[in-house]
Amino acid sequence: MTFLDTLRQDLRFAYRQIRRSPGFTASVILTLALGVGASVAMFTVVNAVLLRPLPYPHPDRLVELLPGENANIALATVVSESAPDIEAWTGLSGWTLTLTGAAEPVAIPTQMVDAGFFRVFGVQPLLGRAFRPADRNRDRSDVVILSWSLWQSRFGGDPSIVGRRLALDGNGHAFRTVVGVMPRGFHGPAALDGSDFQAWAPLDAPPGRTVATDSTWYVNTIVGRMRPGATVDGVATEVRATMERLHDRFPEVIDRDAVRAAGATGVLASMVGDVSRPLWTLLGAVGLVLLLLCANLANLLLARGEHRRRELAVRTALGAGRSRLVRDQLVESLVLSLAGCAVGIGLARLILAALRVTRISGLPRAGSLPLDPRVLAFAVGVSLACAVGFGLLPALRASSGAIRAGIGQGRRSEGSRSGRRLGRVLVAAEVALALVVVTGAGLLLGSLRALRSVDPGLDVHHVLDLRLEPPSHAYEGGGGGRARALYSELRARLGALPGVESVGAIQLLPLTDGNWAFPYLAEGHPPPQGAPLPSANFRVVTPGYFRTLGIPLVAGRLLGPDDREDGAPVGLVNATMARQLWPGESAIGKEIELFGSEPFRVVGVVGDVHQRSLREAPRPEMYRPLAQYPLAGMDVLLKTEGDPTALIGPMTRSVHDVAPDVPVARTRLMGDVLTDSLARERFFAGVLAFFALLALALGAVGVYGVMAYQVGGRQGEFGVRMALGATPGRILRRALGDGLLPVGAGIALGLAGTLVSSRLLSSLLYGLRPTDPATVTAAVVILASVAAAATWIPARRAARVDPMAVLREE
Amino acid sequence: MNQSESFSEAAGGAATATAPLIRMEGVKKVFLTEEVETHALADVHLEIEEGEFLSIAGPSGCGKTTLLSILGLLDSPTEGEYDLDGTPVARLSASQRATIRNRHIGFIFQAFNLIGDLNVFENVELPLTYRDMPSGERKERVMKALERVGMSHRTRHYPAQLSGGQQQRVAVARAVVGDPLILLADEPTGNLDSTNGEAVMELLNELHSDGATICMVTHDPRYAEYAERQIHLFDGQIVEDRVRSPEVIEELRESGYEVEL
Repeated sequence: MTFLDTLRQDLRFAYRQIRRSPGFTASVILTLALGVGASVAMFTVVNAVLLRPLPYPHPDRLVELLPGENANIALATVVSESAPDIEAWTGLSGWTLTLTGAAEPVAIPTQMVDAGFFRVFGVQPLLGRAFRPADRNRDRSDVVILSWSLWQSRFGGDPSIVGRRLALDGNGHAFRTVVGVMPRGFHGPAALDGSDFQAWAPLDAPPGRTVATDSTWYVNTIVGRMRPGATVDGVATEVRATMERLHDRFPEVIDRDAVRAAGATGVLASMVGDVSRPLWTLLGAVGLVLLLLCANLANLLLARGEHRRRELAVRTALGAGRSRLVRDQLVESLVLSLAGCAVGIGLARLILAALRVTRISGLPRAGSLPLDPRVLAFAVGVSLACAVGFGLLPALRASSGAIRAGIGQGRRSEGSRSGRRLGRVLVAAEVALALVVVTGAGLLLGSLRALRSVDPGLDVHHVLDLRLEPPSHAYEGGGGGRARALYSELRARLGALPGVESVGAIQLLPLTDGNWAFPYLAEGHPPPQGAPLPSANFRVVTPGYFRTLGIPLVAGRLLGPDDREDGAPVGLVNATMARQLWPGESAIGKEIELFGSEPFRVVGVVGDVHQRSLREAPRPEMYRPLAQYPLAGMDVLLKTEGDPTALIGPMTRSVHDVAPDVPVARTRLMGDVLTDSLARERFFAGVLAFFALLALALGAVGVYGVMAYQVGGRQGEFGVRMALGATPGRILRRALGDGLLPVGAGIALGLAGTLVSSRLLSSLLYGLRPTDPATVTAAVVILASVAAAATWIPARRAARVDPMAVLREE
Repeated sequence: MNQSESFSEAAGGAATATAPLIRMEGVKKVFLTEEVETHALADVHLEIEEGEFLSIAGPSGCGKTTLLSILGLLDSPTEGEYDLDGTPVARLSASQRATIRNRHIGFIFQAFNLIGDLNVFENVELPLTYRDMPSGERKERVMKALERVGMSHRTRHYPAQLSGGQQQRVAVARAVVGDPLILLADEPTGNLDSTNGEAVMELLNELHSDGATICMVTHDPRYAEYAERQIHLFDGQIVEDRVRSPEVIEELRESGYEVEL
C-alpha cells in the first residue's frame, strides 16, 4: 500500500470517528479554538511589536546611536561622523508645524531630519527631491516634503505641488517651499506612541556652533545605517570612544555619566523598549494555558480510549501493529487540531478586536496587527503541537499491551493504577500551570491597583485639555507679543463661558511623554567643577494653571497676571526641587539661572506632580510665566462645573473667534490622559487576567474531568468499600483526599514555578515584590478553592454510589 | 462468632438474647422506575438461627440477590420488619447501616471484588481500617484470616497476580477477618471453574463447621446442597424452605462429593 493510500485510509477512518461522536468532536474543536485563539491573538501582538521587521530595506542594519544624553545637532554630527561603521545617519526630532491658508488651520506633525534620512531609510521622494546637506543652513532650511496622504487630503494630489510656497509655520520659518512628496505607504520611524508624521523638514542649525555652544538640544534620536557586516556592538564601541574624547575636551558639557550611558542599539529594539520581556512573558503565559488545554484534551482522549479498548483489541487481533494504532489516533487528533486552528484564527481576530489592542494597549508598533504568514505559521504550528501534545499520550496508552488483554474481558475496568497515576500527574501539572498564570495576573493587577492609588498631584476631575498650535513664527516672533495676547484673551473669553470654573495653560501636559529639561545654576550652589550643570524640568504656564488642576501652593505665591513681561523675572519650583536645593530653608526669594536664559527669582513653591507617569517619582521642576517666556503651542486646560465635553463646541468656537489662524490640534479629557498613562500596565494586567481566568476555568475543568473519570472508574471499588462498611462520609473524605493530594502537589510545584516566572514580570511591577506574600497566598487560596470545588462534585458522587447497583453490574 | 457490644449502639436498639440471629417479617421490596413498578420481594418471612448454613436458590430475577442485599443492609425493604440479632435494622440511616455491615456482616461476591490497587494484606485489612483498630491488632487478625484460607504466603501480591480461586480465598479472608455475625455469599463460585469452585465451597464448609452462620445465594444445585437448609425463591416469594435430609447427604457422598455436617 502506498503512503498516499495509507494516508487516505487514515483520514477516512479519522473522519468517521469524528462524525460518529459529534459532541466529543465539538467540545474538542471548541476547546482547541479557545486555546489557539488566545495564543494566536497574543502572538499577533508579539509579532507586530517585536518580530515584524521595520518597513525599510535591510532593517537589521538600522542602529540608534546613543550619546548618553540629549543630543544637539553638533553632538549628533560628531558622534555619527566619528563612527566608521556608519555609512549614513540622520538626527530625528518631532515637531508640530501649523498650516494656514485658505482652508482651516491645521497642525501638521512633522519630523525634522537630516539629509542622510533618505539613505538611512532607503527611500526617495515620489515627486521632487530629497533634502541636501545645504538644507541644514538656516537660510535654506525653509523647505518641506509632504507625506502622500497629506498631499492627497489637503492638496488633492496636485502634481504641481512641488515648488509651492506654503504658510507652514514653525521651527524658525513662517513659510516653507514644498520640495517633494514621499511615496505612498512610507511612514517615518514613528515615535513610541505610534503617531505618524505628515511632513518632513530639515534639522537646521546656526553655523559655527560646537558641541559646547549648540543650543539645538532637541535632536531626540540619532539613527544610522551600518555598513554591511558591521555590528551594533561595534558601533556602540565607536560611540563610546567618541564620547570619551568629547568628555575630555568638553568636561563641563559631557559628564562621565553620559560616557557610561553611551552606546548603540538596534532601532527595532529601541522602539520596542522595555515591553519585550513582558510580551514574551505573556506569550509564555498563553503557552502555559495551551499546555493546560492539552492536558484537558489528553484526559478527554484517555477516557475515550477506555471506551475504544475493545475496538483496538479487535484491530490488534487482526494484525494491526502498535505504530499503526498510534498513527490512526494521531491522525484523528491532527484533523481535530486543524479544525480547531481554523476556528481559533477567527477567534483570535475577535479577541484582538475585543481587547482593542490597537487603540488602547499603549504598546509601540501595535497600531496595526497584521495576520501575516508568520502568524499563520504559528497558528498551524501550535495546532500541530497540540495534536501531538494531547493525542500522543492517550494513543500510546490506548494501544499499549495491557489494553489488548481487553479482548477477553467484558467486564468494565476499574482503571489501572498507571492510568490513575497519569491522571494525578495531569491534575498536578494543570494546577501548577494555572497557579503560575494566576499569580502573575494577581501581581500585575496588584501593581495596577497600587499605581491607581498613587496621588498624581493634580485633580483631573472635570478638566478638559485643548491643544493649541498657533503658527510659532508668527506668535513667538517679535518677542512673543502675539502669544501673550492670545492666551490672555483666551483666558478671559473661555473663563467667561457658563460652567467654566477656571482656565490655565501649560506647554507640556503632565503624565505625557514630552519633556523639556534645562540645565540651571541655583543660588547657593556653585557650578560643579569639570562637570555639567544639573538639569530640571522646565514648564511655562499661564495664571490659573495650578488652580485649574488643583495643584496646591506649598509656600509663597502663585504666578498671576501681575507677573508681566516687563516685571521682575519670577518663577516657581516644585516641592522636590525646593527640598533638594534648599533643605531646611525657604526657597522663596532664591535665584535660579537657566542655561542660555535670564535668571529668575523663586516666588512660590507648588506641590509635586508626576510629570511622565505615576510610576516615576516627581523630578525637580520649575515653572515660568508665559508672559516672561512666551511660547506659541500650549495646552489650555479648563475646569468645568459639569461634564466638560458639553463645552467643547463653544470652546473651540471661542478659540476660532479670538484667533482664526490657530488650530485646535486636539481636545481630550484630563481623566483620559491619566487613564492613558496607565495603558500599558492595564493592557498587560488585563491580558494576563484574561489568561488567568482561562487557566482557572481550564484547571477546574481538568481537575473535574480527571476526578470524574477516576471516580467513574472506581465505582466498583467504592461499592465494595461501602459493602465492607465504609460510611458515605468516609468515602467522600477518601475521594476528596485522593483528588486533593495531586492538587497539593501541583500547588507546591506551581509555587516553585512562580518564583521563576514572576521575576520576568518585575519590570511591570509597582509597589510589589515578585514574591509578594499576599498575592501568592491569594492565588493559592483561589486555585485551591476552585480545585476543591471541582473535586467536591465527583467526590460527592462517589459518596452517593449505590453499592447494590454497582455490585449488581459487577 | 462474637457479638459486638457496639451493634445495638449502631442500630439504636437493644439486642435480646433469645431472638433468632435474623428475623424477617413481611418484607417487601418494590423498585420504581418511570413507568414500571417491579415487585422484587413479596411478603418474605424468614428466620435464620446462629450457626446455620443456608442457601438461597431460584431462577434469574426471582429476588435472590435483592434478598441478600437486604440481609446485608446494602438495601432497605420497602415494607416489613428486619431484626438482626434482635435489633430492628430495617430503617436505619446510611451511616448506621455501614457501621453494622462493617462489624457484623461479611460479604463474599461472585466477582471477588478485590481492590486492584491494594495488595492481599491491604484488601483483607480494609474492613478493619473502618473500625479505627490499632494496627498491631489489625495485622494479627489479617494474618490469622489469611492463614485460615491458606493465603498467608501471598500477602504482598496484588489481585491481578492471583488466580480466580486464590482471589476468592482472599475475598473469604476479607469477609471473616472482622468476625462477623453472618457471612453473606452471592454466587461465590460463579466466576470459578469447578475445581476452584469446590475448593471455595470446602472453605465455606470449614468455616461453617467452626460455627459461622452462612447465607449463600447460588443457582447451582450441587453447591446448594452444601447448605443444611435450602430456600427456594420464585417471583419474590419463598416457595420452599427445607432442611437437608441425611439421605440426601449420603446420596451426595456416593456421587463423589465430600460433604460434612
